[in-house]
Amino acid sequence: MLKAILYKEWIKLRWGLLVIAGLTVLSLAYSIGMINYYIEFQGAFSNWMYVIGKSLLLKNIVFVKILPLITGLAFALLQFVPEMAGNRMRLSYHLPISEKRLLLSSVGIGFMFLLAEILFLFFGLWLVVSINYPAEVVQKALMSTLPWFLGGSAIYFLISFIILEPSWTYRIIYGIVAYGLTDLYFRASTYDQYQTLWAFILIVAVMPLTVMYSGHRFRRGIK
Amino acid sequence: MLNKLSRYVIVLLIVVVSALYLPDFFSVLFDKKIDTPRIDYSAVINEFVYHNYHGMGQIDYGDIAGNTYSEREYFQLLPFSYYATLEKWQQLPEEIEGFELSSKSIRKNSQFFRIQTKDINPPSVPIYILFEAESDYAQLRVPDDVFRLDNKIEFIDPVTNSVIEEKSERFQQAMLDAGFQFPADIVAGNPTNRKPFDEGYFITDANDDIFQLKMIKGEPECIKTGIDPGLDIRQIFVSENLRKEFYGWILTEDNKVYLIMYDGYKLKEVPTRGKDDKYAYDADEMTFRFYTYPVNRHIRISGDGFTKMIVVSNDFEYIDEHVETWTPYDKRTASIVKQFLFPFELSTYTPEKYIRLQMDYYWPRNLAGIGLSLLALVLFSRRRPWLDYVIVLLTGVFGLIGVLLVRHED
Repeated sequence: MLKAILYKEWIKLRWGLLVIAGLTVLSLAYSIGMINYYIEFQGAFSNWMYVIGKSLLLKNIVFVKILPLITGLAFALLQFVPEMAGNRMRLSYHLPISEKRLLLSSVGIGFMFLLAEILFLFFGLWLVVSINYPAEVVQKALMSTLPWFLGGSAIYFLISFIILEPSWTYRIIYGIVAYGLTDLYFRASTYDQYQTLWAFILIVAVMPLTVMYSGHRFRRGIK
Repeated sequence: MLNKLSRYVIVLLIVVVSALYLPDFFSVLFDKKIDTPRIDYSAVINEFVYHNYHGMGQIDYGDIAGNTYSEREYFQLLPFSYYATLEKWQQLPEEIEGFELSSKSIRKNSQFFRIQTKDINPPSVPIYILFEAESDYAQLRVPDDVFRLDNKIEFIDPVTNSVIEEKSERFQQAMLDAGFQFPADIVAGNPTNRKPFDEGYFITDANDDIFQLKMIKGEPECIKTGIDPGLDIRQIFVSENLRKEFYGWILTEDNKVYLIMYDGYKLKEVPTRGKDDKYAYDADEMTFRFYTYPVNRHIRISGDGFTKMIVVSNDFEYIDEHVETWTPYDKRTASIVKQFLFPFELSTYTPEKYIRLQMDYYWPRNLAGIGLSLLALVLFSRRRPWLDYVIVLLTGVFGLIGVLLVRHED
């Protein structure tokens, strides 16, 4: 059964995956371009001073901050909007698998794809910043991206849960909550400010559980 | 079962969001600014003086003996702060305690520094720059390489992003020759060329010994300072000043501040507590300011609800101290009401500029809000799972919002 769900989610997500992978390559190319531009016009030494002292690198890799959010949002929409349109989700509930396992596997599979995109972006960025900057800067830059990736994951889980929720009133309330929670991951203004991430990880880790409540309400036919 | 768990996860997420934003909104709406006096010490009348802004451009000037002054009189009491204006008014006194006053002489004999919480181990990239200390040019010249310092010292060329082997080895050898035990721990310098000259870096080694590393005519100079390694140093600050009295200052874990003197790296302790222990300096919560003036030195410790000022002579002999207090934040009305209403507050910003999730639990004031929330739940919304009550008991109004918004589904 799991294989079948995997196949179904793959069908829904494959174009999205490809587009995001393309955007990742473009973002990394943009970062390389920006880094080279600044090094060219500031000179390598001054550029390093701006990168080290004024967090310039965070500006040059700005798409690494935004892309996980876009990815999370896109994957949630691609996976669950078709299911909710015309109440198609009801068909899935006739499958010989409990609704909870069905929803959790869908979200889990979607998250695996999201994680793949994030890893692609992460290692790409590693490569990009290693060309021009010393290990210390690379380490700080990579550490700075971890909260962004958590934020992207949060958006994925929260948007999935909002789409699966049948009532619009609830969706609006959840939307506000989702905004407040996601903002938590984008509060840094310099490198590696999130020194203790465990609480932030825990908050994301419990998020997948929320979809079951929405699914349950859908099953009960709440509008 | 899982559906219930799922609902409670949503409730808890709502609790987290409410605890992050609602107390904050409350403060934004109801906090009032209170007027805090700025105290200073007048070397003219040897008395603490203050001025107090009341908004609308209204300022009181007075001294702690009860006299009030006009703005002009007040400026004249503090020639070391307002010398430029006084000179323009041609009211700068000729001399104070034998010191001849002029803008130039005051500027040359004054120095100021402060230690803020955010200066202590802030988020930073451990890459440093070393200036040429005996430059041929009028100003300090920005070098063209940077260095890292941990298990060894390595100079890196930004153009090629690679280690400059020969220079690194020379410096490494100089440090080893001076008795430096790698790895380095604290590396403190003043990486700006907007300073008159360069004193390089003060570095603690594996044995907590402190070394000074400079570059003179391209060659390393590493000196073991002989500063007591048992100091338990928290942070070292370096600041070059033409007075050449001290290289910088040391903050220790037990909130003591020492100047590193040019006179053989001797340490001079700056008073951080005064006679009254109550408002002693705590680096995690207060700002420490040290002013050197031609005739005396001021220490100003400011925190939530107070400013303490200690005055010492140029030789650090105690002269006087004074504490000015006002209502601290958590004794103000808005803050007290907040603590009654909300059981706790979540925030992410720390004074050290790191971001971490932290909770202020308003025990026991929060019992009021928790009690009211429970009562509201019992009175207006019956027949709930017992866990709803537990949630409200633990998280007060935040939990109430959560359990009311997210309906219990059978």
